[in-house]
Amino acid sequence: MENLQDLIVAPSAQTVIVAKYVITIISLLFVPYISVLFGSTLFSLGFSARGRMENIPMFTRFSQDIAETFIPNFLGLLTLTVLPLLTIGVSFSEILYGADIQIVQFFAVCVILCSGAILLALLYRRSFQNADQNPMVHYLLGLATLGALTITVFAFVSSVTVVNFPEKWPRIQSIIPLTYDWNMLWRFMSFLTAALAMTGASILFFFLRWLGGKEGVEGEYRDYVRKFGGGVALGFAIVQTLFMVLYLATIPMVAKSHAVFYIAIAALLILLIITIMLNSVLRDGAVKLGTPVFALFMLFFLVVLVGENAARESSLIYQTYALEDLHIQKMAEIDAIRAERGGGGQASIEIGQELYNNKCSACHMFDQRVVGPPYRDVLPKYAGEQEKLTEFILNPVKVDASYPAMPSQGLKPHEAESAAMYLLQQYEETNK
Amino acid sequence: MRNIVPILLTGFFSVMALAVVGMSGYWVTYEEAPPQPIDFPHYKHAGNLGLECTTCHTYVEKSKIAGVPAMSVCMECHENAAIAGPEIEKLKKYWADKEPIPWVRIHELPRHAYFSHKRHIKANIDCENCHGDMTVVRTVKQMRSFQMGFCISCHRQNNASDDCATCHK
Repeated sequence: MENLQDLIVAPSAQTVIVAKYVITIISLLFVPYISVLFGSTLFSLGFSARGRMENIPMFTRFSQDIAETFIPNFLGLLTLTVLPLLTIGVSFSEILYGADIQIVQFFAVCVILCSGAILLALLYRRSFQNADQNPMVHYLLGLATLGALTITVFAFVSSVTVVNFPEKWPRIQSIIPLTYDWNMLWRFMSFLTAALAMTGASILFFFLRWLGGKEGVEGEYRDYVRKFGGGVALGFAIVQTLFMVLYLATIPMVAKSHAVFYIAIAALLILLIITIMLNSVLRDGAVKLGTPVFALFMLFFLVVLVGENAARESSLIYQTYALEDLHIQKMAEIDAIRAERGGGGQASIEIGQELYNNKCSACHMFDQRVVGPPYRDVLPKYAGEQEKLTEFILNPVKVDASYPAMPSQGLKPHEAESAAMYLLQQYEETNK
Repeated sequence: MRNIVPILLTGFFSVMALAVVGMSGYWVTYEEAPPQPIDFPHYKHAGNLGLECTTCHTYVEKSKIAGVPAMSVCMECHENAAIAGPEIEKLKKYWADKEPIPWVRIHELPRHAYFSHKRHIKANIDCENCHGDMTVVRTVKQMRSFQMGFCISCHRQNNASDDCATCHK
């Protein structure tokens, strides 16, 4: 598995920006869906068991309806879970290129776990056909799906959280990073409770609102669906808030910024509106609010994902510098190749003039003392000796005790040559 | 009676929002960059002018402690160039009054940890590794936790000793 890291190509500065957007946008597909898949498996299994044990046909029907609504076919599951997860993994690997973290392996584990979970989910959905004859197989498949999904979510949350802890990277040996960490634990709990709240909202929306509501959901059953969906969404939205705040309290110092806190307040505001609407759904039977509640939950996920991006921006600041250096290094390599072939990297008066305006003129003028000496005093000794001046610009030394030492400007040889060329040309012109 | 639940919900979320505000207040007070007596722009000196860190932090290569540059180092340039501006006026006033600038210290290691700047510079560790990229920073803040895990990770990466006695003398 360790060789997987070698498959990642070094990113350019633009790739990194794109990768950050990709993570946020694709997560907006993956995170809500895996949440609903987890919640719907749990509720469907619970109602299936209750319906058969207490012999209540409505529960059995509800169980099957939930599974059929939220577990699509293989292609659908692949598009909603494994493929987005792969994309997110590759994007993280680009952002963390060259860092001392086994991010490719972490996401490879997530993808393997997720693939197993969706296959089990398909088998679970199919097991409804023989649930009455073989209830044990049906329950076991349900439990296995639930277990696999829980481990997948755990691995995913852990892999995403570890990115905010650069100081822990070199010490992680396990295939699932941060198996025990308070911040990781609160985020995991926050994810699970948000997943259940989102499932409740999805039940409201897809059973009662989407395309005029699901066929045959009427009377007592409709009322039960409304109360269950609304109740679950309301209850878990409130519990989720507590975990969200605990998560925020334990994020590492390097990940904090003003944006992280502002976004958390925005997320709380959205949750408040959601819960007030859900209260209306439960008390007044305002089913039409199912649509805005679902939309607001999606907005909530978006806001949370943007907040996570802000946290990563702070904690990965060194990685950003490292990638910028890598980019500069690559560009220098390209420049060197170009110079070898006869283009670029050549000294010129134009480059010299630009350097003079941007750098030299901060401390030097031709006829007046600024920080450094005026050029009319120091240039005469370099007349006709451009190479000597280039050498001085590249490696300045203190000459006159009455001026501070000139610091090295970190110029490339052709830039120093250009500056020397420009200065001597200017000097000659003024002395004509 | 009908409106009590929305009120309770608003109350609950207000408490949660207050907790977030409290946390951000703690962060701003204790963890964010504190205001300094002079708003010294590192990015102008290390970035725009391209000065090396050692141009001003002269002790860093010679001593265990990096130290704050002497005011005379500032005045070497600011007596002649960039002599106007509110922050430079403050500098000139401290200089004229012969008062040291009361900089707020950001980096302070616990006393049981021995750290030498000189050794790290000799080992070619970039200043940026611990202090961040000063060419883009205006006000300095602590960029790393400087807890033991940070030191150990870097020591192992660079094949430096991770013996206890290296840092706990």
